Amino acid sequence: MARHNNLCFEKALDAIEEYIDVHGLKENDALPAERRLAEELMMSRGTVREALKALECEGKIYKIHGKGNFVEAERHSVDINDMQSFSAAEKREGNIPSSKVIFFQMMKAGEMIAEKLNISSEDKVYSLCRIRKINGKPVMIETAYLPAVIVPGLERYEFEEESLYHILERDYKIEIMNQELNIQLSRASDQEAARLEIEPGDLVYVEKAAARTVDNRIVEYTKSIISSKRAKYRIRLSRREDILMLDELKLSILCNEEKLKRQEGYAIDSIEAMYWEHVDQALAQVKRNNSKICFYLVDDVMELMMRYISNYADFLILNRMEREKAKMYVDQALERNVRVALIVEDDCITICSEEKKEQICIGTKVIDMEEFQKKFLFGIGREWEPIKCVRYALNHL
Amino acid sequence: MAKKALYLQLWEKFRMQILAGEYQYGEVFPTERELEIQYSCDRKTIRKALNLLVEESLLVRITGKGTFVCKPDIRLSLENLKSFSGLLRQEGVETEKKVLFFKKVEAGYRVAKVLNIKKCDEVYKCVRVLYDKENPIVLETIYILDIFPDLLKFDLNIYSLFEVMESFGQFPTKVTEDILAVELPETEAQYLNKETGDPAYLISDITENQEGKIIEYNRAYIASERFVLSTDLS
Repeated sequence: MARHNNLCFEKALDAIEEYIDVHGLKENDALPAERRLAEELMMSRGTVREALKALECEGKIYKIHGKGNFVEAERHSVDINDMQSFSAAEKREGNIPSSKVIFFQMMKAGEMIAEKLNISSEDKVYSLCRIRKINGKPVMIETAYLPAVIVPGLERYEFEEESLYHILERDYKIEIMNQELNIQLSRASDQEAARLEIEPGDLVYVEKAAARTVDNRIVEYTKSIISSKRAKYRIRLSRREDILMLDELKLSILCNEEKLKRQEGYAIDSIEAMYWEHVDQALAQVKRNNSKICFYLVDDVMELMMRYISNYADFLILNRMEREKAKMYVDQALERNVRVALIVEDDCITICSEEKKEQICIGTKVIDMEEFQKKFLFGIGREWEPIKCVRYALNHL
Repeated sequence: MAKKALYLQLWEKFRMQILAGEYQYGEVFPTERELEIQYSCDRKTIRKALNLLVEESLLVRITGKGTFVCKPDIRLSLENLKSFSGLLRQEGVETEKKVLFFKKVEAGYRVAKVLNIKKCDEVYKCVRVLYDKENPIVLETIYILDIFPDLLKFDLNIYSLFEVMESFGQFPTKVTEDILAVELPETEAQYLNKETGDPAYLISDITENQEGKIIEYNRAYIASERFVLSTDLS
């Protein structure tokens, strides 16, 4: 059960993968028989067997009964960030994409498709079902639905040869700006399995995508069944985060004090003197890394924190505090290195900056408050995001 | 307006039942025969309605086993660079963390390859389960570069790892995420309260800091049934 503790097992996994790399084994190459592999790796046969099983689950190797274990082909990455067409993306990777049209017809939308495309169920749609292959191997069954009124005459095209997105762009001047994607797992039905050349019941991704144009019209709804054996998704995420948002929780992390557990409510005012030294060291380190520090605090701890704010803060957020008091703290902070301070109240946020001291007047509408709140208090996600707030303030002052 | 065809009425009815959560995920849906009797109509009509639900992926038919409900109830957004607990919180799911293992270990071949270090270099390894109420939903194994002094002192039952890293001035800035469908191996299945072979996402994240250095490698198994992964790209 406790596999994370099972060093033998982990070592066996490592050893087998190293064996594959060192021996340059490629897809469909055979691994040595279990017993020989165990001898070669100098491990027990049981451990090696367990590791092989785990690698099979992960799709690194596959087993043929009576024949042994073989290296599985690398899964193709379906790049979520890349909105290019399937064929363009694959060509760029040096692969040979191809498509086989299963059906291409004009039909009544029907209830379900109508709902997805935001049209009436009696409206006509083109439906195009293709098997998409990479290097001759089927990877996905893709069925696209497009409202006929948007793409009249689509039937004149040959989709085994041409890319749908390319045609939309070139001949219909439709540029897709935005794609909403949902992914779930399912198991292949008999028909899907036959088309994808996998076994019925094998895992597949079910991907549903709605493509919209600049004017927010849905031009295409696509449902794809993707073989999990041949594909994986890849997504690249980034954020430009160099502001350390220092709230009470993070301060307690910095103090590195085990007593500060949840039950004690992260009470930073009860931190003993010796731990403050640690905070000093840690904050100095953050500054050396050229990162900015934003204190995000409530009234109770302000007196205690003022020294650290003076020494380290680039930004300051005061949360739900009496106005006069807040104003006093902000004045003090702006005399130091603090560039922007936000005073957050239930119904408004006031931005104060060093450059425009007159705006410290609390209650003044510094920027369009409505837009501001929409973006940061009730916007995407349910959390209010103080960092976004600070950035916005920096950009607008 | 003409009255809607019976199969469409049934489709809407079943759909509402499933979306309203009258059936749990994975529960067997009544058979065509049972429905035929219940709604006293012919089997063809029932089948047409069920076909629509299968097409929508609200039901799944498994040959020889029956028809099962598969409506996921947690959306996992792929847009934000956040920890799993952060992403789940965004969807209103407050998770409890439970650390099973947290020690310094030798990196070993696979981890070293990802983190660009030597096999024998030490890394922090943390195995953690995230619970939604009583239910385990994420099993993550995290490997962290040995650049955080005294990391073991931090209680990862409480803290998010990203928060801890930020406190050290290391900002998770870029993540390359691979999402694979896998069948759960025995041990992982036990931790997640599932059967061996149940479908799961294996999400591996490679995290870079603000200088483009890889500082963390996270492999998380997520039992897929309750999750729909989603993104909205421009």
